[in-house]
Amino acid sequence: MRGTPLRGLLPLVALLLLWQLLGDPASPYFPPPSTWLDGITPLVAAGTLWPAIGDTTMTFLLGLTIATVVGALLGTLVGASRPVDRALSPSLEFLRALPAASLVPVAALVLGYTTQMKLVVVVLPATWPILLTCRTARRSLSPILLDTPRTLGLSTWDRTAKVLTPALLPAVLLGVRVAAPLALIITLLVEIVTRVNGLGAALGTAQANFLSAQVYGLLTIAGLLGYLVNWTVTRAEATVSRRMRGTA
Amino acid sequence: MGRRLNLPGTAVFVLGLGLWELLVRTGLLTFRYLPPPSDVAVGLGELLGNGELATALGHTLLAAVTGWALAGLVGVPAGSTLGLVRPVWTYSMASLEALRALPIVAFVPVAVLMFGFSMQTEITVAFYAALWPILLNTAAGMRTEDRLVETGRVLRLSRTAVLWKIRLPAATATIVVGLRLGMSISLVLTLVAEMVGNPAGLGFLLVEKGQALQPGQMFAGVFVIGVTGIALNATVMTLAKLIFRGQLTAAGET
Repeated sequence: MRGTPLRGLLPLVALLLLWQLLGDPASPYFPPPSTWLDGITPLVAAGTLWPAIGDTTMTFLLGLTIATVVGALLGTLVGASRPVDRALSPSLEFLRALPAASLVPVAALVLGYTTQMKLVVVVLPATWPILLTCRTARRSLSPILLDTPRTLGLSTWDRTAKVLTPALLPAVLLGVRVAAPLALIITLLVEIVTRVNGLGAALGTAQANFLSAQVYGLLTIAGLLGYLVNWTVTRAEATVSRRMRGTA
Repeated sequence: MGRRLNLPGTAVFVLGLGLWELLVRTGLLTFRYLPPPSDVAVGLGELLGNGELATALGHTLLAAVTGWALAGLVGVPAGSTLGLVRPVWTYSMASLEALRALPIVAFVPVAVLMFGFSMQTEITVAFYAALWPILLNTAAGMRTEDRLVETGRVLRLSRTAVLWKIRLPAATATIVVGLRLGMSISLVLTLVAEMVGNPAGLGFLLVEKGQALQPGQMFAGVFVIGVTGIALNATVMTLAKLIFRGQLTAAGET
């Protein structure tokens, strides 16, 4: 849905204002917005907030990158051949059906409480959307598009770089658009459950210590991060797919 | 979706399991707590035998389905209002989009803060998670199909008739998609709430078995969760097909 009117933000603003005016600053459940900043200040003073944000961002970016590469390659391979597709799809379907949350304790047990464990848990679920869009796109590519460069005697490398990649790029980006918010959520999820570094771990600790203002403050930061990620991938996808359509 | 048995697919699945068994047994894969599939099967048997699995599964299902059903009860009417009444959409959509950008899992600590280690936490989280896809899909479904609505106007249908005979049937397929997405996401968030909040259900079973160093039983839990997800999705789909057969066929969702 494009062009959501900004007037629509009014209820949210009104709600926050009411909360600020009527909220009890000492409330253990609903601390008013002005206290949220105070809640985070100790983290900034202790110098743990920025490393936490950095950790989360790193895991997220690295996880998404690996997922994009793996998803695009596997998706292209699976989509290129019917028999391979048929042979692999039940296994892929079952793996896809496993909720990401259930992988967290498993990965923690097998790999330990490490950054690699975080990455594995992020990469697995984030790969699916990219793999699936890429598979569908590869399957529906026109055979003429693939035969023409072969007739022209282009090398395998040129065929891949000049024909296949541009043809599949919009699909990959569409997958990334779906996978990116998912990857961020999973990153936070791993951190909340295992308490290994990052924003999610800070959130979990704040909640365990009943620092409600800090919880809300961190929630806001997580929200801003989510918003940034959404905005970036939507923009990137729109730009690239417009350019691809322009040259086609 | 082929109705016939996918023979090569099944073979690959079984081969994969066999390979996993072989790699672990021969010590080529040396993770300390990676069980071979045979241990997972034994673990599943143990969990089934002592009734732990049934209790945990029942608890998780109850929380997830309750949260999802509440989300449906709230989300479909609210989404319809959003989609049908223009001013409501104008004056609230941006707020909703801003709220939706907040990663849902980040709400789990907030819910734990408010409701403590209780079933209420799980249901709240499941409800909140499932509400978004249901709400937004309903709103989107109700907003489309302008040409059909024009037809209704030409036929001089009353507003109620347009709603019941055109808008709602046209939106059904989209709403069902929202309900399916909501179901799977509410299951996931229930599991998360069980892992960090309420110590009960399948989510806690995984954590507990992990800490008790029982990888066989833990992987069995993961397997059960996967099957549960597939089964819930299939149930929602079957129910939707039974109730709204006509509309779904018309939308090409057979």
